[in-house]
Amino acid sequence: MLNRRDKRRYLAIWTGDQGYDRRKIVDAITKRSSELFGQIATEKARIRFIAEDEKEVIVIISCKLEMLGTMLSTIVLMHPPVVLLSISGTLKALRTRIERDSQKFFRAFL
Amino acid sequence: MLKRDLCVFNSNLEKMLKTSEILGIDEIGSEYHGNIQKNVIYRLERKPSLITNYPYLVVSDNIKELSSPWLDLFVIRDYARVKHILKKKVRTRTGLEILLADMRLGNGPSVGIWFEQIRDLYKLCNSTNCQLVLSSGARSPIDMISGRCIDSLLNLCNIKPDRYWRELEAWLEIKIGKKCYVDA
Repeated sequence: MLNRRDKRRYLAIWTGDQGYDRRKIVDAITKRSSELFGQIATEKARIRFIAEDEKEVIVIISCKLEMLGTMLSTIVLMHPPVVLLSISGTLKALRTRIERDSQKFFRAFL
Repeated sequence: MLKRDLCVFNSNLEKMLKTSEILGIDEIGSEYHGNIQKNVIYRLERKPSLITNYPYLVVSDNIKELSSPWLDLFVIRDYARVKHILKKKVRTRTGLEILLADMRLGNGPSVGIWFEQIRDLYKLCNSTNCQLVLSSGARSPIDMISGRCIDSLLNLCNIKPDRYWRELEAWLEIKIGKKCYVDA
């Protein structure tokens, strides 16, 4: 059997107190991506909200691997700014990384 | 290969250094406030009269100073306005810097024009033997940009990230190596 599942990447984003809540961040990224790269590229990326940390400052989203480049460029050009903390091919690995480095993140950004 | 963000404005340099470590940036450029930190290249407005014990670049955004022999890095605020002067007056091996923070507020069309201007500037840099420098221009940790994101922007501008980082490293070696003394 052929594996027809899309390859996805999971992105941890620091949103801090920029006024994005769990759903708004995906809407904001989608809107900015549409503005910069067009509706077709944005739909192709299939941006999804995955999770949020307890303190509501780190959000995990996912997108298709083939559109990762445009997604990263969109993140750079977001206003209010957000910061890409980490990328992983699996949610488990990303969560482990966030847990391991969370103290570092909080020391740096708060 | 080291990744560098040569323009970070902040007096709390330690915090910026911690953030840069998280974001995969090995060295940052910042203003000089008197104390010397590791992994920082200082941005000065004037060339110091003596050899320093810290690495520095002389930076200006004043077009009148573009052909000054002491200028290392020229910050381009409005490429369309300075393009013709740049072509005529820029000295070989000058760094031409663009700040990404300026683009965050731009709408779709202006960001599109900006990408085209970077492509054009990169061609100009190649023909005049200058160095393109993309910097965040961050004023706080949340304004900083990860190395991976800079790579994706470079790809969008048709610039190979590996080549860009390699050229930036070689350019910094030439610029900094001659004028400061750093303990091994």
